[in-house]
Amino acid sequence: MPFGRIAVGVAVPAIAIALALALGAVIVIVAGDSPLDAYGALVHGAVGTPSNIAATFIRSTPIAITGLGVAIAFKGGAFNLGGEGQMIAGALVGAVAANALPALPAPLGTLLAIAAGCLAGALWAFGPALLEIRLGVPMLITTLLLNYVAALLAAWVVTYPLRDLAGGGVAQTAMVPEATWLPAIGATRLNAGVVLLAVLPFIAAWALRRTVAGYELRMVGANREFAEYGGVDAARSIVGATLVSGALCGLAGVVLVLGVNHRYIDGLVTSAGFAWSGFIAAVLALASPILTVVAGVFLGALQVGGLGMTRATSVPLQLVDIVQAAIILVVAVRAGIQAALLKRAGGRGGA
Amino acid sequence: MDIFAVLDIALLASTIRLVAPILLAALGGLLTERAGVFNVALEGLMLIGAFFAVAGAFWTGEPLAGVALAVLAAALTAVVLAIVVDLGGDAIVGGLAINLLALGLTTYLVKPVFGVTGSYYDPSLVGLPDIQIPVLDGVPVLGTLLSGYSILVYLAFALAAVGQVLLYRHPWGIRLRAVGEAPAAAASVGISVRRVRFAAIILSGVLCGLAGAQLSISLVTQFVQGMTAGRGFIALVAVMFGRATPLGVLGASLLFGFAYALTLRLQSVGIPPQFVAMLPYLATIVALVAVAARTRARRRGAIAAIESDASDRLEESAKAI
Amino acid sequence: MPGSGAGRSPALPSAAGTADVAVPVVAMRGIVKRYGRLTAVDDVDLELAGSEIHGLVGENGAGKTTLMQVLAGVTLPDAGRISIDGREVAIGSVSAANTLGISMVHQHFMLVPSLTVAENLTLGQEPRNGFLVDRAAARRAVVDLADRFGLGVDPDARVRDLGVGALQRVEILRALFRGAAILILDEPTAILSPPEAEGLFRVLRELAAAGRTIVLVSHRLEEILASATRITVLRDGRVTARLRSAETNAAELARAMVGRDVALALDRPPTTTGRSVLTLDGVRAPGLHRIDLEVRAGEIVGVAGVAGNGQAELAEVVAGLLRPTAGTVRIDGRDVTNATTAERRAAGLAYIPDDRFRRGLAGDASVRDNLIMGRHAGKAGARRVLLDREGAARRVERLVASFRIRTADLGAPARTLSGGNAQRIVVARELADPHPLVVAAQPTRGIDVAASEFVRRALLDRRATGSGVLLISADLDEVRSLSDRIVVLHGGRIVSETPASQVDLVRLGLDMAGVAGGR
Repeated sequence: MPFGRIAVGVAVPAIAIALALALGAVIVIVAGDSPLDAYGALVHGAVGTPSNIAATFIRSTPIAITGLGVAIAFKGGAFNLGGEGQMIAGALVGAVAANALPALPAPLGTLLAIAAGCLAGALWAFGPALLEIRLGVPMLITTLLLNYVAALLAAWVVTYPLRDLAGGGVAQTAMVPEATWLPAIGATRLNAGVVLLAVLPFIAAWALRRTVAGYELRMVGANREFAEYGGVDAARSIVGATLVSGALCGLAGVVLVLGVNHRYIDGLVTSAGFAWSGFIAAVLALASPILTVVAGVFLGALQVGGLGMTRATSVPLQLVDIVQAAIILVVAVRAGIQAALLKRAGGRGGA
Repeated sequence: MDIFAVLDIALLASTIRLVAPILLAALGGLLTERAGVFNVALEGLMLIGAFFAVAGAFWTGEPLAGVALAVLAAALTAVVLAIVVDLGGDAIVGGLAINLLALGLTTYLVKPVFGVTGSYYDPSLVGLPDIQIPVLDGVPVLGTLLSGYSILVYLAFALAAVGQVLLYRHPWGIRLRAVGEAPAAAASVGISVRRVRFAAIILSGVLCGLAGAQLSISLVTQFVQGMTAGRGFIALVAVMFGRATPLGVLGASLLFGFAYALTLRLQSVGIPPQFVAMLPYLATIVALVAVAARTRARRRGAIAAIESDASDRLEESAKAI
Repeated sequence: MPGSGAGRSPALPSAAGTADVAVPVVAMRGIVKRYGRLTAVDDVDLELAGSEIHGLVGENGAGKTTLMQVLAGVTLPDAGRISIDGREVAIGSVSAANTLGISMVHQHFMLVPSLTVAENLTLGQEPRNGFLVDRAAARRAVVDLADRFGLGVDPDARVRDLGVGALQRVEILRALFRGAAILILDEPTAILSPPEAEGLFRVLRELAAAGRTIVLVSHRLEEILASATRITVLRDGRVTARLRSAETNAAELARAMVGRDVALALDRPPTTTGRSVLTLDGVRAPGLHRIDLEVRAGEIVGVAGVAGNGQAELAEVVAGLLRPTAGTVRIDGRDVTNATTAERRAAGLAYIPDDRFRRGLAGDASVRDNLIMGRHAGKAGARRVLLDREGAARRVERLVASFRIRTADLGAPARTLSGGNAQRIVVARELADPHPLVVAAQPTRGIDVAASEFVRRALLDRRATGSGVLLISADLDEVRSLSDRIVVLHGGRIVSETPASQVDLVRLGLDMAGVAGGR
């Protein structure tokens, strides 16, 4: 009964989004505005003009990529809440690498900087993964605490040793060489980073479905005892997934730097809440790679649209944050909802 | 640098002041932990408390009204988590959702409530007064150490002590422990596991509300977006490090409070503030590793048998119910 | 009238019943309980008198525990009536049973490990002195009660520090503290040492003398004979005998428990046994004492015994999930004593674990993914990185067809399948390839008749094609109909080993019950 299963997979997020938007409407009404106006402005802000659509995709790119990272860790049953720290590591190291590299032929410098960013993200995730596997220290908490450490460390780097003195009062690195920038797509404001959204989820889905490592990871996530009994090295599987997860978060950071800001600025990652939006996307999509990216673009649209809404109405931007949080609050209860739905869908197909 | 120059009575006094938010939140986390709920929402509940404490003080001019509002708001937010858990939802995802909700909501409300954006600071805002204990106040060392804190600091320490008695000597404390440890056994004697869990989560909201108030209208008198900055998670680790006993949690919180106090002190001796600010987080990670190592050592012991037996029983009961 | 009372003798004017009080304390009439297609309890009548210890015996799956769960409010019956002291009652929940004075002491204790004995007993009705718990009063109440029945316990000891004997006394005290007049003990001695068991029976006699009614559910015939006044024997959900212990003996009980024709007529052609595929040499482990056992190619060795006597441990020692503390384990000639599960699989092990959804399957993963586990990675080349989709598809197709796994959708989570179909997945995965050694632990537990039949045939097929099979099952019929040799485990030891052709049922029953000198 595949159709039933897919329907169930989409039903819970759809219910969550509907309820959250309804909650948002209530807040808007309480604040004395018209929800129709607010949501109208939001939709226009997100997709109303080509330029708005571009903004949506620019915003969505880091969200979707970190979301993908979180989703892959989820697949193995691991909670990587360190997307923010790993993204900071990737952004900062990517910027530093791009500046430190000698002048190289066009794509080479970019690729090396990207590789450095991915590596940094993976390394930032490695410690928590190791601690969890070896000592049983909950990764959930260590990855989260390391977000603050990463933010502070990066702040120090751009405040002192690598500060761009031309930047005035702003703590930031020097601008990376133009040769390392991600190329723009045609005449739009979009950069090549957005291509990742079309490529990465399919690679991830393919890897999970078609490779031995992906299969083993899914089985570890589904039932670790079963996987180990089948001869799978579950610890290696989990560490591997966390490294990939960290690398993807690092990638999100370096893409942001090379594609949009062209330097690391203090607070670049944290103030926009990219990584937490990515987390929400992964939870909303129940860790399906392709749906995570779809959810990431949806959240990006919500946020960009939120800016439009704020300009057009008196509703503050943070309404979007509340709607986002409400979405996963509903998804958190999904266990109950989904079990009920699956029972009905599966009951017909079961023997 | 003379290491002893940073260790003095003032540092200890500062520790006591800074420990209060962590201790209060950790006591809340202790209640949920004892009820068998892993509560990652402490952070968000505390942030809600911090915001509404300032809002209450702002509206009424009375800091105690701020405390009351903080408690009310955080408890109401905790009800949301309690409902998620009661419906059989995922406590971790639900807790993280509460955190994000708290961050969004408090940032959102700054504008309509205070008419500014970002953070709110007004020199005329009245914070909680420091209580000078009459006679003691004049005694040299003891006066600095024991006198001159907000009511919430005294309350935090008192709650840890009272909590120790309640948890082990009051019927509700004993039932709470039974619910967390052996829900089937508790249910078999007519204790409502759901009701006890619900109450524990709401009480954790109350305590986090107090914690947030100490943060925003005592330690400072302002509201800054996301001002809890991980203290809720540090409190969560304090629960683990203190083995979920009130006095153990008090000890663990003192350790983390000291890390915060040291942070303030070290900033004044020329260490870059960013490094200094990492201290509490790093100390917390070290504590987590210590907890894990301890648990591992104990698992190898005889208790493992009983624990696994207990979990077997749990499964058994889950099937029976 | 042993053995002849077959089945549904109505409201018993039986030999055992006539002399008893006019109004029984408990009268269960026509109790029926079905689980799916299985009828666990089939129209059973049972009367209990005051001041008696009533023995309830039968094999695993005979329906003893289910019947008692009905009385204790754990399970609702599908049909039947229950009267207490002549008054018909509805027992809809455990607390309803408690209110009626019925309490069941489970094999798994309902105690809180970190609380003291006194706290456990008074939980939910703690005596207070003003605001706090009155510890002294709680302690006094516990000690008074314990002294009254000679149940020695330290009221201040933490439950987690107590041994099983003391835990059981606490559990009994807990029932008494809450006013239990009818006390059901399910296999109370399974976990006790002989002196502890002796102490328990002293207490039970004491309680009966004080007017309480005790139901003792047990496999151990000797202790039933020694302590019970009347005995009811169940087999396949029906009463097969009602006896007075003074007028019967262990052999008669054993016959009533297991005496019947083999229900399963399976074609088991003779094979020639070959090399040794499993050798256990002086293996010790928690729960196992010096096990020497050999399984040869082309034979099925059945392990019989009452659950909890080392069967699970035996399977785990072979599968590599429990490390032996002494001795060696060889699979197909290779020493695998310290090898991982994966290495044992490589050495030739196939394993059907006893708990499908814990280890045998990933319930949330698809049928397809469950079927390829263990065979998903190649040894070299691209197959170490990429799944062999076509190979896997062919394999899955073959297994689904030949093991008749009924599912509309191979992508559906395994959890959505029926128990029998889910077990077919496990069996298909483990038996499709010619592994030299097959360990099958409770392979037909909880699945329907057709699936059970299929699994048994699959095991016989493996035997015919030269595998050695170690069959561990609580179903004695299964063990008897499949095995070439039968070993009986009792108390973690092999107490007997008999070629299937020479098995004497009564003797087997006595061996399983741990009756010394049974042979």
